[in-house]
Formats: sequence, structure tokens, C-alpha cells
Amino acid sequence: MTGAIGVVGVGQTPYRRQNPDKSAAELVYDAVRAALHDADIEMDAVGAVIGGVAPDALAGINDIDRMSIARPGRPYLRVNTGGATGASALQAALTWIRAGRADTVLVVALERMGQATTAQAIFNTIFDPIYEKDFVLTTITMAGIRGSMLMKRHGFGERHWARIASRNFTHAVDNPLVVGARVRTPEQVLASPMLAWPIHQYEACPISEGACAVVVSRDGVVGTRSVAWVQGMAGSSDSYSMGERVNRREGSLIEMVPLKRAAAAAYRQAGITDPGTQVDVFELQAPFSIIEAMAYPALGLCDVAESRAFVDRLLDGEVGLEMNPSGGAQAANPVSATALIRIAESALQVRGVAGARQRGEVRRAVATGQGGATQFSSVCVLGRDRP
Amino acid sequence: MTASDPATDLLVLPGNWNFDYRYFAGATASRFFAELRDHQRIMGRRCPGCRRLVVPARSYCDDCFEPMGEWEQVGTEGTIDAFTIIATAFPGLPEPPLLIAFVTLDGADSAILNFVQGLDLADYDAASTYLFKHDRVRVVFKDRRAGRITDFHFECLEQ
Amino acid sequence: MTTTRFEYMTSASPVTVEGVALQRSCADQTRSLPELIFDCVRAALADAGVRMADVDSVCIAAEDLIDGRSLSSMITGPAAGAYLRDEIRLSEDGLAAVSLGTAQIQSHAFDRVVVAAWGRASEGDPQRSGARSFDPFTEQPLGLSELAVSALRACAYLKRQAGDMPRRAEAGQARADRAAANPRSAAKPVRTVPAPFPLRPAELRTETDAVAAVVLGRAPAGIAVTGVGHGTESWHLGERDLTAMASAGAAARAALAQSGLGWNDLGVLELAGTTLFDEILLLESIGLAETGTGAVSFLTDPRINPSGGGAAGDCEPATGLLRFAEAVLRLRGGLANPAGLVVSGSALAGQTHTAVVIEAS
Repeated sequence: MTGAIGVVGVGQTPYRRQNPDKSAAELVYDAVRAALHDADIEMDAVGAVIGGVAPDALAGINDIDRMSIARPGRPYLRVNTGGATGASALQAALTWIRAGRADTVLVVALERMGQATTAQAIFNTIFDPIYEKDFVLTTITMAGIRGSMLMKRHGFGERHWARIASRNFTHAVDNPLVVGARVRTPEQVLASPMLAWPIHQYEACPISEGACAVVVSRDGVVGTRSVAWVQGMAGSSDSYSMGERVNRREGSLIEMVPLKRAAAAAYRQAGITDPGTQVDVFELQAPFSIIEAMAYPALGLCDVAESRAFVDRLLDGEVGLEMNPSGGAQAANPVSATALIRIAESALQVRGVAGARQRGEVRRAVATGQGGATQFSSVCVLGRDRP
Repeated sequence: MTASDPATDLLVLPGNWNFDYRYFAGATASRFFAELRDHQRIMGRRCPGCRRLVVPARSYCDDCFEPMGEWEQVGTEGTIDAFTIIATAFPGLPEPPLLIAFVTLDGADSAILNFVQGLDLADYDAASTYLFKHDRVRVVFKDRRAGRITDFHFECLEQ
Repeated sequence: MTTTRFEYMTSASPVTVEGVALQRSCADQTRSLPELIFDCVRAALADAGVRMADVDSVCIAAEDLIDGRSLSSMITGPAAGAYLRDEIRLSEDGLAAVSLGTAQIQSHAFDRVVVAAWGRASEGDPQRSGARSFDPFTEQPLGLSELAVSALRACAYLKRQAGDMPRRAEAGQARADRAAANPRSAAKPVRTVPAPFPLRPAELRTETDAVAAVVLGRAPAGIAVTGVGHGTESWHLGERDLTAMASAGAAARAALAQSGLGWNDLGVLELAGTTLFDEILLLESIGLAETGTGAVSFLTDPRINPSGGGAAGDCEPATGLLRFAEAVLRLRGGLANPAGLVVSGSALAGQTHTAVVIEAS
């Protein structure tokens, strides 16, 4: 018996645009019941609850986690690190267990953006009101800005973005949780209206809401349950100012320095020296294709200078890695939950219970989380082997 | 009018999320804007630790976690690092297409964001190809300035 | 086999408070919100005698609606040191961040953590934004707010006590006196709001711009965290006994049990509620005063809220961290009983509470 911690249960609601028949608490209830059932435990075995909800503005209710996730009688904290929330919440749960405060922690992330009628306008309010208010800085334009750098410096073309998107949407068809998933060809993506060059409409994720619950337990109480061990987990934050990150000694804006650092730390914990051969599945939080392209070198899968060649090989099926079997964040991006979903999906893969989207024997999977304008990054390594 | 069935009616309540704030820009940002308005200068501050000259001017360095030092003016020309062409309309902003770019002005160690004007944006491929090849811009100030970031914009050097 | 007070901890050495700083101001136009935070965190580092390069992680408590920016930690996190560093933001009261920061060190993930929390009441309207935490169907239309719940709580209490709370007015005056004697008190309030019946103006907090920062580490410094407790009640107000402050009591008892201390071992108690009335109820809830005598205890026990509490200046969610810093400073000044208890609550109307015990060696 070691100090290892593993994911023993996962519960997810379907991710769809709106759930007019469910309150926030009911969405959470569905995910939590499923997770507890999957973990084969009752609520009284849960020592603490960690909630994850990102921008309150998307739900239009402040602190919506209070009415839906917090449970009387046990410690409760809400984490909010933007898009990385779900991963940060899981990391807080690991902290809680390792500090000896609980044997089992329930992590729940809830996205209720189906209540927002102007979601994109809300995303605009994340940017600096003093220096950036007069611009159209949105999650889409900030992706476009990075896209232009990738295209100029590394020779990517619009077709790369379209092919990555197409692959993710195709995978989502096998994921029953992505309601309304359908195949999109690269041609369809390229033909869709331009949002902010080079980002086309069909590359952007749809509005999705839903809840994801994950149960983590320490080695001593896991017993004979099917478990995905946490072999490594780390996070890193960064400067806010994009302009200060464009060119700096640690790496340019497109090198995703915090992701690189988080990956290095998580790999070190997990004993990974060559992720390309030692990891089977990647679940990336990449709501845009360009973020995926930047993530590959940051995750140690290729050198920055060779990233375009790597993407070509990956898209042509010449690389033995599975990317986003769930469809990833492009197919469904319930913002508060996305990072936790990547971890949940990775856990399902490692445990061999991912149904139609299972990618065979998965010894090890890596999930990433991204928050802000590639400002907060998190990497979680899950595997069959107890660390 | 048919009677509604309470068992199946789903209540959806409209609401809005309107909050008023007043954001304090602080002395450093305030001076940055005043320099635009009064002297048509783009000013940065240099970190005494890592020696980076950061624009827009900031009062502390994230990396060194130290207060910034001297104010310095940056050049009136610079290089586009990254850009995007906005194609969809946004409330409160000019009609698209709009070109915004991060530009590292000569002498600066960080890039600053602003509109780039004067380029034909009708064909995105042509515009982006042009911008990849011709990435030098100059700063152009408005005649009437209000102490806002939009007091200046960029224009391509070769037209 | 002897047992030591710290044996419950998984780490060999306890988590210590290496540095603190707290700063209150009122609409200081020379500084942006990130600049306020930067100044306070720098002061805490200086107090600890360390640099940001010596810090492994940043644990912050902040609310988007208070900060006026969605995902506000994008802009504020780096001001607290989150540059290429592990960082986590809680949308909780600042004392919860002390709890998590302590756990981070206890878990051996990090050796030194900066904990920071803030609220800049002058940039927005905390009462108005706080009201949006209530149920949009059954509570928001009725104008419920954190302050209104405090008023309801006070009303329920007075009704139960046949309309009377002995020495209530004196308790309010005592709080004001303590705040006046606190060199860190806010000079003036950002705004004053009317006191909803049956609350009185002297029981409301002084709304201010506030930042607090703490450096937690392992240095064998003077003050150790020896107990942490959490309590959670139902969100539904109608399902709570409003006067019982059950989650506060549970948190305080858990923290004290962990530390092995009793009430008589404490030299300072900083108990934070939305109003003084809440704090008096808290006293009764945690068992420090008999039912109906909370105001008397507050008045006559100088250990209770010597900082002046909310009268010294406050803005959520900095509250618990402000009180924590005040308690640390008081312990450093030397007390006959060199131990302190800090209790503070989070949304919704104290649905959750955190409690922390600190001891000077």
C-alpha cells in the first residue's frame, strides 16, 4: 500500500446546448449519482467535496455551486481557474487526500452556460478593462492571433486547422455524451463563415452545458475497484499580458510555456521520459485546433520547429497516438467542466470502460487543462500501474 | 386558450447580468494614456531586474516581482508579431472586417495591441499573405486624442 | 509513547506563518487592483524575509463579481506572484485559502505558499453583486442579500430571546473602540448602507478596499498552524436554523479538536460574520457564550475580535484572511495564552465556514 491516489468513479451528464428541464442541482445530482455508482460507494464515504465553476456570468447566477454542489456536513471548496477549473479542482482533491484530511474526495464541475444568451460577450469581459477594453479581444480572436503566428513561423495552413477539427468532430460521433455530434469534413469546416482569421465557425466549439463528477480515493480504500492511478499532476500559471508573452526568453506565445512546465513536472512524477512512446491516449483541452497544434511540442511530442511536420504525420495516421477519443473540447466545451472531463475520459480509457470510444488497451493517458488565454495550464497523467 | 399542464410546463425566467464598475487604472496606466493624449508618445517602463522595457507601461514586473523603473519612449515603428482579421460584428465596435495586431515597437521588449488600418481586407488570404511578408508598421496618432488606447493605430510601412 | 500536539499532521514539521501583510484603503486612484495586490504581497514577502523566487505556489481567494472581471485571476493572479508558478484560485473566503495553502504544504507538494485575498469595494458594489448568489426564482425577486439574511438572523434571535439582547448597544460601541485603537483600521468607508431592521448601523461593517497576504512555509518561525476545520450547511435558508450558525460551530470545534486546545487556552479569537450581530451569534454557536449572553461575552472578553472586526474595514472575500493576519500580529505582540482561533464564512450567508488555530511557540 502506497500513498497513491486513483480515480475510482466517473459520472457525466450528456453535454448539450441547454437543459431546460433540469435545475443546476439536478444536473449535478445526475453526474454525482453516476460517479458514486461507478465507484461503488455511498455519499457517506465521501470525506470532502471540491466544486469547480468558472465564470459566474455564464450561468447568470453567482456562486451557483453553492446551491448545487456543496453538501452539508463535509468540507467544501469552490475552485475557479477559468477553463482549467476542473483540473485545478482535481489537484485540490489530491492535495486534500495527501494532507491526510480525507480518504475519498468527490470533485464536481458544473457548467450552466445554457442560461447565457450572450455567451461570447461574456467571454469578452475576461480581458483587461484598462488596456484592452476597446478591442475585440475574445477567446476567438485570441486564438486567431496565435494562429497567425503559427502560420507565419511554422508554415501551417488553414487546412491543418480544418483537418484537426474534423478529426475531433468525427471522434465525438462515438461519444454518446456529446449530444448532436456529427461528422464535419475539412471542406465543410473551410467553407463555414470566417469568425476571426484564420478561425472558421465550424472550428469553434458549440455552447454546451452539463456536469462531470469524479471520485478519487487513496490506495488504502480503493480495494478491488477498477482504478486509474494518478501517476503525476502539475499546473502552472503565467503572466496575463499577451504582449509580454509574444517573445520572451522562456519561449514565445505559441510555445505555451506554462503547459510545457506543467507537463515536465507531471512527467517527472510519472517517470515519463518519452511521451510519444510511453503514453497511449491524450485528451487535450483545446477548444480550437490551433491550441492542439501548440500543445504537441509543449507536451514533448515533437520539437517546436518540427510541429508542422508532426501534425502532418499525425493527421495522416502515421503516429501511434490516440488524440481526443472523446471528441475533445472542440466537440463539446462546457467551460467549467472541460478540464475535468478530459481527466474523466482519460480515466475511462485507462480502466477500459470507455465503450464505443475505447481505444483498446490503454496503459497510460494524459489529460490537459487550459484556462484564460493559454495562461493557466494543467497536466494529469493517469495509468494502470500504481505509482 | 387551452389549459396548460403544470406537470409539463417548464419555467424559463429571463434575467440580465448588469453590473456597473469603475476601474482604477492607477498612476502608471493613467500616465501612459496621458502621454498618448498630450505628447503623442508611447511610453514603457523598464524593469531594473530583467531590463525588459514593457509597453503599455506597467508598474511592476511579473517575472522579477519588482516595481518597474524608468519611463522610456519606444519607437514609432515596429514589427507585427501576430494578427487576426475579425469577420463577425461585435456590439459597440466598428463594422468588420477589422485587423488587430500585436506589434513590437522598436526598442520595446513586449508587444502592444492595436488596430492596423489602411489595408484591403476583402480577401483574407491575400491580406494575410501580404502581412506575413510585409510586417513593418508605423504608429499613426489621431488628431483629436482622448487618452485611450485608440488614440493611435498602426499602418503598414509599404503600401 | 508520548503524543505531541502536532501528531495528526502527516508532515514532520508543522506549517508556519512566515509573513503577513494587510492593507486597507479607500478608492486610491493611484493604484489599480493588481497594483494593490502586488503591494500587499510584496509586503508579506518582506515581512517573511523571502523573495517571490523562494515561493512554490500561490493560493488565492477572489470573486469575479467583486473584481468586476470574469475569470478575474487572469489579471490578478500574476500580481500575487503566479508567474510560471503553480497557482490556484478559490471563489471562497480568504480563510479557506489558508486551509488549502496549509494542506498544500502538508501534502509535501510545496514548501512555501503565498496565500492572498482581496476585495475592492470601491470599484463595484459588493452588496449588489452578492445578491445575485441567491435563488433567482424564489429569493432574488424579494431583494434578498447577505445583509438581509443577517437581519433575518438577528430578527429570529431577538424573537427567540423575547426581543432583547442585553448590552447590545455597548457591544457595538466596544467594537468601534477596538477598531479605533487598531493602527491598521481603514480611515474611512467606501460607502455606508442603511441597516435593515432589526440591525443597527453600529453593527454593520465598514466597507473598504482590502488586501491581505500571508506566506506559509516550514521555517521554524514563531507561529504555527495547529488546527484546521470546515463546516457546511444546507444552501436552502429555509432548511437552516439561522441563529444556530451550525457550520461555524462545526468548523471551530474541528479546528480546536485538531489542535488539542480548549477555549481557555486561546489568547485571541477573530470571529468574522457579515455583521457584529452574526459574530455575537457565532460566539454562542461555538459554545463560548451561553444562549442570550453573546453580547455580554463580546463586551467583557478582550480576547474577542480585538482588531475591531468588521468595523476596522472589510470587503469579502478578503474577510477571513484579514482576520487571520490580525490574529497573527496580535500573537506576535505576545499574549499570555499564545494561541488564536480564526473563524470566517463564505457564501451563501455563511453556508460554509473555515476555522484555523494558530499557536506561537
